Amino acid sequence: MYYNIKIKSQNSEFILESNDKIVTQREMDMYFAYIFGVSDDFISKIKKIEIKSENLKSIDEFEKKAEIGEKSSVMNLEEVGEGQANLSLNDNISVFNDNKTEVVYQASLDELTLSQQTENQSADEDCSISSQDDDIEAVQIEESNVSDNKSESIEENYDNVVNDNKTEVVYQASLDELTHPEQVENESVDEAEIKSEILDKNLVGNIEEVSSIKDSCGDDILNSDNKISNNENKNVKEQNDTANHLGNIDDILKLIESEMDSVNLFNEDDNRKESNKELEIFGDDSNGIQYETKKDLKIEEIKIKNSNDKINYYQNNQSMVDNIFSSYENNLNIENSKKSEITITALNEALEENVLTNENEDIEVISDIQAFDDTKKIADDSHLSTKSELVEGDGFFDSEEISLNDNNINFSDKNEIVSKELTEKLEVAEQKEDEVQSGAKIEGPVIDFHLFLSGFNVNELKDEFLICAYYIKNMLHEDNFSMKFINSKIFPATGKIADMSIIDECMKNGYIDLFSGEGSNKYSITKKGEEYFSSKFQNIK
Amino acid sequence: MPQYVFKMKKGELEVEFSSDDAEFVEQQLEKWREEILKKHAQ
Repeated sequence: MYYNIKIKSQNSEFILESNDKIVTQREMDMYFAYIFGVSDDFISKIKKIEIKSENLKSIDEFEKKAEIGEKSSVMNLEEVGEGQANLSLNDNISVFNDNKTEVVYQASLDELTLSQQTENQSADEDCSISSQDDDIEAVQIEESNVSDNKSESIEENYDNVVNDNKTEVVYQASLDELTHPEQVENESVDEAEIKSEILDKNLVGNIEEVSSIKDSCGDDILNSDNKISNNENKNVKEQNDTANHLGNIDDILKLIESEMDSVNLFNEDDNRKESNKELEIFGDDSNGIQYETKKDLKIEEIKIKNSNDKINYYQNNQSMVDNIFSSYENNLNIENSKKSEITITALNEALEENVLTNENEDIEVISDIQAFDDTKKIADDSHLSTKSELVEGDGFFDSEEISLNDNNINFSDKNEIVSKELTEKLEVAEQKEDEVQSGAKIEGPVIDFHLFLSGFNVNELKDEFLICAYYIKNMLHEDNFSMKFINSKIFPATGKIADMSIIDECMKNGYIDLFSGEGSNKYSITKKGEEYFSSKFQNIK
Repeated sequence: MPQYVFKMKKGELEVEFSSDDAEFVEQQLEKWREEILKKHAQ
């Protein structure tokens, strides 16, 4: 058996390829909840969680020690809706660590200024993306032949995921998923359709029969199963199974249909050259079904690679983490697990640049935790207390990356150590920010562009672009930048992407120019651009 | 062996789920249906 999940958004793609039912079920439940807007806790706060262990039981212990808030299960959406992940900073640091387990926990710096960003975007045209995300446009079910190279060794023990031979998950989402609760609540589903494509020729007739029965007998699709089961054909069993499932699927689709504005159910042959049958059922647009969705999802990439000795899991979604551990706790035979590695991380170029590493210390990397405090302060100053409390209550924390390796770590001591470092870093960050405002050069680790940008009250992309260009030259000390590079800074911070029109406008104004030392795809901020930056932006805050 | 592909699209987000485990697909869809019903009942 195999289970694949692919999720695409405008700028990202999520692919899960697994032979593990548990993993697939968990992921699908979560994304179903996400798409249908029945989960309130898909608020992404964690940028990186990395767990390496030779014993999954350690991961189970990690869950208990980390106390990742109130558990929620997507199996019960009510619980999901009510579930809150109450990670606090201390919770974050109190991660489990033993001689077999290493935990790295990284918050999303991009989330730090979520409150402020919310305020800014409330008046931003880009907010329309939020509502678009909530429109279910299509649901499609296909059935086709699978190539013969698929393994049929199928009696898997789903209670022991680490014994799987292969599990691979790649997840990519992005800031374009970013929505804000106050903007998406009570939105109705504007458009939806469900499609069923049966691509197996051997099954087409069967499916048509199911559809015909559906046409003539209404909902009693399961009756078709009995008909088919009487067939003595060699393929009857498989077809019957398919019909049975499709019968149920059809029944289910009808229910889902009631949730959406339209449903499109059709069959195609395996070449998809022509549609054999098409049945369209349109729901009542006047239903006005409304969903409450709170989505602050910012998942950059999730990867899972699962072999006999390794599991990699990348993600930055806190509720997913809850469910992962719940799944392990509830469904897996942990004692039988031999070796495992779980890595949950978000691939973010900008963030990774800020990672500091010292392998000689127990705490390998700690940075920018102070940024959360900065952001919280900014949010408080901006009277965004409601959102700020919500974020904080949901366990928002801002550890860029924390890694605990020591076999004999005293967690309470570790908390104190980390707290001290956080305090020191907070002071450094404040000092740096002052220096940034004064235009002074800064040595050492640079602040994240998101934080840098938060110091300026700008909403237009061209201004953010110029600020980023200034940031790249004066903070990152890079003489030039490519569009890809600058967008890697702008997009996580603003959710916007600069295109050539911005370049053209800035070049027309003389603020940036082609970088002479490189090819034509490199740009640099000009002296005029820096002067413009200084005169227009430096004294705004 | 049949392959089941379940696609959903919501705005820019497109979800595709495929499997050859018909029973699992059925269970998932059934479960989702129940969840929708729960949502309706609320």
